[in-house]
Amino acid sequence: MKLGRSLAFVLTLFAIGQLTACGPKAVRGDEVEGLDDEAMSTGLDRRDLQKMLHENMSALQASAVVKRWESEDRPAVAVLTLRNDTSEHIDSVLEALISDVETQLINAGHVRVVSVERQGQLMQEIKQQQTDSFNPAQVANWGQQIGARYFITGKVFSADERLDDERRVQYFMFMQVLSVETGEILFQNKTSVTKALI
Amino acid sequence: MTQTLRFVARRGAVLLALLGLQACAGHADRTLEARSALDAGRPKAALQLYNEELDVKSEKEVPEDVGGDNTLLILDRSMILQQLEKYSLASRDLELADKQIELLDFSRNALDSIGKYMFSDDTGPYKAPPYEKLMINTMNMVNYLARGDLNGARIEARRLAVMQKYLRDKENPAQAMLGPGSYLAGFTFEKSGKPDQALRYYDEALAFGNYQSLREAVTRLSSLSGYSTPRLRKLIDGQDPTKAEREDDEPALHASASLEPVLASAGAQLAKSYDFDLLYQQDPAQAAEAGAGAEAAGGDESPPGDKEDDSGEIFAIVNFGRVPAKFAKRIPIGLALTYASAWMSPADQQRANELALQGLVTWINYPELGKARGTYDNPGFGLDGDWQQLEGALAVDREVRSAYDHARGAIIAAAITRMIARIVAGQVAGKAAGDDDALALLLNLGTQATLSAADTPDTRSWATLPARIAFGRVRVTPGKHQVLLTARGHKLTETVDVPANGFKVVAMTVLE
Repeated sequence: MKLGRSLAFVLTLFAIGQLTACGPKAVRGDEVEGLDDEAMSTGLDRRDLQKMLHENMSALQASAVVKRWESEDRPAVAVLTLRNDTSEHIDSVLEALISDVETQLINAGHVRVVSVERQGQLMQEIKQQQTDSFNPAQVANWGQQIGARYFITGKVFSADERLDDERRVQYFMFMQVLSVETGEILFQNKTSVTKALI
Repeated sequence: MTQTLRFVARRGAVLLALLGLQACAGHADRTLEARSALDAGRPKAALQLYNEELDVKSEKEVPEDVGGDNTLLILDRSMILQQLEKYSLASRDLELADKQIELLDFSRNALDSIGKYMFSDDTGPYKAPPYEKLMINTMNMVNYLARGDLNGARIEARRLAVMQKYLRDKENPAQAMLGPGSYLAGFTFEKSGKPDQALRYYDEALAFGNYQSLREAVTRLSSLSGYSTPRLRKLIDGQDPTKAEREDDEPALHASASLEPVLASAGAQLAKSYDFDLLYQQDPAQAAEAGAGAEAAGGDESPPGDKEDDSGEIFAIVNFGRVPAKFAKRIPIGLALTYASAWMSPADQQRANELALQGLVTWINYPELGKARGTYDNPGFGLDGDWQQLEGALAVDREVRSAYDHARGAIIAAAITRMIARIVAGQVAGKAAGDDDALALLLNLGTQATLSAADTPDTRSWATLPARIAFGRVRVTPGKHQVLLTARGHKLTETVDVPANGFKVVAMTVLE
């Protein structure tokens, strides 16, 4: 009996030692239900993007600028990169958000979306196609590029604070629609997301 | 029956002792070979060893588990990647580690506390000291600036600011570490066209170091911004901004930041053929006398005159040497009690003395700090054939020493406390065996042996940080310039094309 107690005591000590050495294990998204809903860091994730996108696009659809676009027979719009003024490396996430905005605009059909970012590359391609190496009947023509009349862009700011064992990052995203001709801000909306480690 | 039980107990005790011996080797042991490779000037071999330790095929991969002690290995690897000028991979590693260090910092686990109390300090998660937290963002700013990525550098500057504020609020002793980070943040915002923010950061840097290399930049930026402070004005007037206003005031400069301000003097001419090897060994002080008056191409440090100034800037960053790593050390209990007396309760002290007198405790195993590498080296910065001034930005090794000295008593006290706990645990296990003396002894020794074997001194630290950081800045005419950086017997030559009103950052890291 006493021996059993002694062994149990020693084994308990050892078990504590082994337990403290346990680490996390890697999993895939489809293996764990709700994994995509869990906040993993103070960065922005898919769920945050969906929230920001939904709020901004709802505000845009209800705004006067959409009515203006409807009266202009699908004017050309370019979506530019959002400026990252935060304390998190979220540039690739913001690029994804831009693509989501483009997708929604294209599908809504009010405007024609043009790629300003790729314009130089496209012109280079047209220039190359105008050489003797290409069949003149099968090449893209000069002078067909569409100039953007409106830019959709924005900025993301953050208020990042740390206190003892907690860190909170409040993101503020401003989405704007600008007139290329005048520089006038025709639409602006703010959305916010808070992430924290507590 | 009793004999069978004794047999089982004996086997059990031996098994436990063996299992205990299998406990992980300390962090210092895991990285010893890689650090030796760095000492021998073989960073690629060191990188390979870290990859093996992380169980990845190459530095392009990140381990499946980036937490736990792998975080430290990733931090170590990031600096080797910086030395090999693989800046984007170095950034990736630092950013991964930054998040993990933060998570580990916030983690609270009762089991870890028990483990720390009973087994070893390195049982629990790694809690990075303040200087390491500040160096993550500072070193990552170097990675971004070397790539000319101001956006990335700005994000790191903002992250650094959050940590700086947190540490300042806590009055942490790592304050001198705020200097170079703020300097780099100021440079980042200066080159981003934000003079107000740049001056704010420069002012902060000047609170911790007499960075005379900022004089030209601060003078120029002050003409664009209304932001002004007594420190900035002192710098513009050619005074030491770290000196207190009155003699009886506390000096603003943290003592450990008072690194030799100028590591290499400007003005010495390199050979006309740009044969850097010839003059690389030349003592900058002697060289300054020999070639006084020589100027860098376009490197006029005076404010712009009448003609429109389209000059650019070359910013040299030299990280060299290596901070001291920790290693396991055994000291006699008497000496250990002297070191730890202020951190132990009177009851624990009495208990430890009793056990020492009984001869039950003779040695204490604890993590000691080794020696820094490369602290006597004089780095060099050459531009178009002339030596330029290189300013000592920070002696990281001194901060590491200071942080360790601050914590050493508590570390040794913890080791003594664990030793007492082990002996008590052994005695309890022995008593549980009752009248059977042989079994009691066996269980007592078995328990102590198992717990002793598991007590690995916590030698975890970011051991690949450079010991010293030096900055050099020169205004140049737009166009191509040849830059030479030297440190620890290595040289980096690079031809940079500086755009009008632009800048180029040339960085060199030598972790020998």
